[in-house]
Amino acid sequence: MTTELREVPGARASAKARRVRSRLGRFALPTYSWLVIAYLVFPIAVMIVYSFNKVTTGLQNVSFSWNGFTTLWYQQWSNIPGLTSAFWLSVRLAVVSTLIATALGTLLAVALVRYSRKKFRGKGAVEQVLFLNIAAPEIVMGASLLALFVTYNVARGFLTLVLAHVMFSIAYVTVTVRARLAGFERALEEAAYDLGANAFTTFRLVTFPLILPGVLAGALMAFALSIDDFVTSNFVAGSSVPFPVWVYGATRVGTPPQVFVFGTAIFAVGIGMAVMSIILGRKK
Amino acid sequence: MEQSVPAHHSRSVKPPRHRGLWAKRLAPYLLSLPAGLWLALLFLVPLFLMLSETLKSCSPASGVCTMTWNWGELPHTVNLYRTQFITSLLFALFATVIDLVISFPIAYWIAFYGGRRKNFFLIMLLVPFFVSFVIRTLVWEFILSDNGFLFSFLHHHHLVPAGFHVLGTSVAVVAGLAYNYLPFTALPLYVAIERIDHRVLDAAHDLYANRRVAFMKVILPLTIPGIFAAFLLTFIPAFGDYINQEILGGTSNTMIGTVIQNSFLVNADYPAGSSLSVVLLAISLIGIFAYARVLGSRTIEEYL
Amino acid sequence: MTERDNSEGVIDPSFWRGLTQPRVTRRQALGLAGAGAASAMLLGADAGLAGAALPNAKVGTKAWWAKQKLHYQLNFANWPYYIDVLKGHHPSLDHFTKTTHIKVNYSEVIQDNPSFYQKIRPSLAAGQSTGYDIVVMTNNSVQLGYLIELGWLIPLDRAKMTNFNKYAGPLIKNPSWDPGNKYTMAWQSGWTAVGYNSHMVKNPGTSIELLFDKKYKGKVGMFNDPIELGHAGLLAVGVEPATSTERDWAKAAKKLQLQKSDGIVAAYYDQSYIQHLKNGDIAISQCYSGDIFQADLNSKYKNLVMMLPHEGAMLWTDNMCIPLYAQNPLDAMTAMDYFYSPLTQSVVEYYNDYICPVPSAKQQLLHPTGWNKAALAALKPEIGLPTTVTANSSTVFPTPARIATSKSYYTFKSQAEIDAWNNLFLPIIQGA
Repeated sequence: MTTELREVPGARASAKARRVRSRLGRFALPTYSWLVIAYLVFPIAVMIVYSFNKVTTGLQNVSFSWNGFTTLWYQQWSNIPGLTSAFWLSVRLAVVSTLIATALGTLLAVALVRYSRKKFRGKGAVEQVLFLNIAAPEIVMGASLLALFVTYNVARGFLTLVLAHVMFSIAYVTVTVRARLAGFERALEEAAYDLGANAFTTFRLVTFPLILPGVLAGALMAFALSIDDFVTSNFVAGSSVPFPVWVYGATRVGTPPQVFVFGTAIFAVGIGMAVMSIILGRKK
Repeated sequence: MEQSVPAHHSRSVKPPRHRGLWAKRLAPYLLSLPAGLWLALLFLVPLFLMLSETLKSCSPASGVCTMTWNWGELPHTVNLYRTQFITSLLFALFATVIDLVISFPIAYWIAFYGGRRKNFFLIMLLVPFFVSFVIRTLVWEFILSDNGFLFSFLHHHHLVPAGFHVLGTSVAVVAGLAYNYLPFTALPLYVAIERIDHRVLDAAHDLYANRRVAFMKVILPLTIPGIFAAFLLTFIPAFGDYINQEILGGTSNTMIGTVIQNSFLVNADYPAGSSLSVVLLAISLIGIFAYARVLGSRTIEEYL
Repeated sequence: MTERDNSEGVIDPSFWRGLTQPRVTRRQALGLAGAGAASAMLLGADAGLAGAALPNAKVGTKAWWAKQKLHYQLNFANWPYYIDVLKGHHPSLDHFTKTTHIKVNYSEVIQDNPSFYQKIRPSLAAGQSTGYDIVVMTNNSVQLGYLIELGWLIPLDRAKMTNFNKYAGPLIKNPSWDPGNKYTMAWQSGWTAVGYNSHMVKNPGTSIELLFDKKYKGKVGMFNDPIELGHAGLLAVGVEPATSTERDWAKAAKKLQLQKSDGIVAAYYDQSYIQHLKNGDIAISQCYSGDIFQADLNSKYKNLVMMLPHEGAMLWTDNMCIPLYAQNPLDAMTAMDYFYSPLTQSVVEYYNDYICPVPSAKQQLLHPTGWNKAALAALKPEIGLPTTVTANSSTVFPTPARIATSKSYYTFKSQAEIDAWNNLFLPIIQGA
């Protein structure tokens, strides 16, 4: 009661202020947010628009001036042999390293969620290593891998790329899967055991379906990390050059329009997958 | 010794449970062995190897390195490139602060007013990640170029003084860093703000806190861990970045990442490159440990 | 020890003599470049390291070559925009594959000598294939010297150099950096000169001082290769690079440092300078001769002009060589000699516009006699200029007088000299 009495003079003013402010919130904040979104989208829009730009020069590089609309670069998407093979190498690399990283990362996540510190000695250390792996600067990891491979005469190529990509993906997979596993019903597994299922059957029929969404999310993360990686790949790639490294190298002398075509295609696939995951999520 | 007894005893009664006992004890180790080995051999061992690399001397021709216990290499190299370290620290700091300032309001807005379109807005925040890092930096070079559509327009209409340019300056590098790492800042902030119980805010308002007070006394303190996580997740990669500087920078803003990359990939000076990497890692570790100490090492994962 | 002894057999003794007592005929004076750089160092203090890395001496001998077979595949590493291109194909390579059935994996992975050397060096040191059968290295680079010196190149098959023996021009035949063409065959030569945008630069003059003109503050591009940068400095302080001393280098470094601190330099570029020159981000830059000519071909960049300064322009040669442990050496040999056919070279040069290693390709450009007729005709709409322009260009088929005014690079005599050079010029490029 007393509070209400006290409220009368000051509160009215503050209510008014609140209204003004909330109008600010209703207009200023959304306007601002849309501006930020526009800023984030702007370069991507530029990339997409210029992937349709005609080129008037002999050397076929992206040109600054608008020379007219063309879909030529989409028709000739595979006209730059180095670019195309680099792209497929990146896809292969991402698939292989995602499969390995997802398998290893999921097993580790299961171990971390299932077992207490008492039953899993060294759990704390493993967690620290994961944390360090995620937080450490990539250039240091890449450079140290190069030093390792050179010291032990490991020929750099597809194999070293896989080794490196799995290395930086595991921690992300583990963390993602663990987050989904946290709410996991142990009772269901116990029930399966009690019904006579062995460990493998239990995993196949009970555990795995339950953690599948988490595993898929982790795999998606690993795939995205792998296909976009430049820094580590640049250190450990020998003569097999993945897409980002090729783009970085070749564009030092001018960007062929096909680079923007590939960029647009990767963007479209990524956005498509994201939208699909939202729609699927809604249905649930 | 003990295991064998119940195992034997139970074999007749409840076989599945028992067979598992040995395996059960070993299970956490077996499950973590493959990933653990992978990380130990390809993450931890190389880091220690790099530490030993700083003490070696290498032939510039054949690249063969021999251990010479050259303790002077690290201080010498770090001293030689201290300006580049400072440049990197400043650029990363500027970019991170800019990102925090830019993304706090939008994270706040999505968390509180996003409603049913939250997911849509989150994807919008993540949009840069759907284009290759290298390509989006190249596009910025394309946009900021003196004869690019943006600046030729500005110059043509005399909206900027003659000779005004951005590409090749520190501004371009910081802007590139800020753009490329913005999602690293915005997402943790969003997660932190999203987590705030709206009832706490209502309580604050009921207690006559106006919006500013509610923000300062309730929202900000509750998001501190998120802000710290955002800072770390943006600052560390920006600190070691060299793509932005290589593509957007000029002569007077070389970052330490460029020097490290050149040491390894151009000059074959592994000891120098390793020394700089070790120091870069050490500076990052200070932040990482400070975070782990105050907020626990697991909490940062919540913001990923 | 035995390996060390083998090395003496692998490397022609006259090579050492050539390095220590340069015989300065006019042509050879041009070639006195950095290539042999490492030799003194390796003969001296670093011999142990060299010994450790030395390969089997039998590689590259007549008997060894006789045992090699074609694998019908070839991995070719070259610099970007250095071969004819038509709609994503390379007509010269297509013809090669058609006639020899050797499939070519041509990759444009070389941006500069030092970093490419670091790419292949670990494999060579480990005794593994680099993944390439042909690599192209510049004679002015210390890295080509390292490769020769460490025995990391396969001596060429003398029996498979028919076209080369018949058609190679005097500029690149038996050059000082590789006497007798034991390890290398030139791909192309060119000048490092000054390029400028005639819309932005009105009175360029003929001096290298243009690169140091305060009028173009923030609009000048320099190379990030310390060899190229240092030589521009030497020319600017009026020193003959080939006979310069460490004191001259310091003077050149000072001049370049001042150029930087005065804010004249926009950036130190690799191959990307041409992009920035076209875009107008810079008005003047150190440049490679063919790049400007290529840019000039399309009407859009008519405003890009190359100037060979009266102080002299640095002349270099890029060389094809076969790295040790290459998996398809005979295929590589076949391809290298194929590029010395005047027919092939006419097609390559129509696109490239660097200095042609085969003088008689000029006749083929004017009057094609074989498969190149169709290829040149197909390329014409892309290039937009008649073949006569290339044939009559003095930057493709230079006159002896033009060669005579060119400058050759300094030849390093020890690793200490290389270090001294790098310590002077690298901080300018990498400094804050």
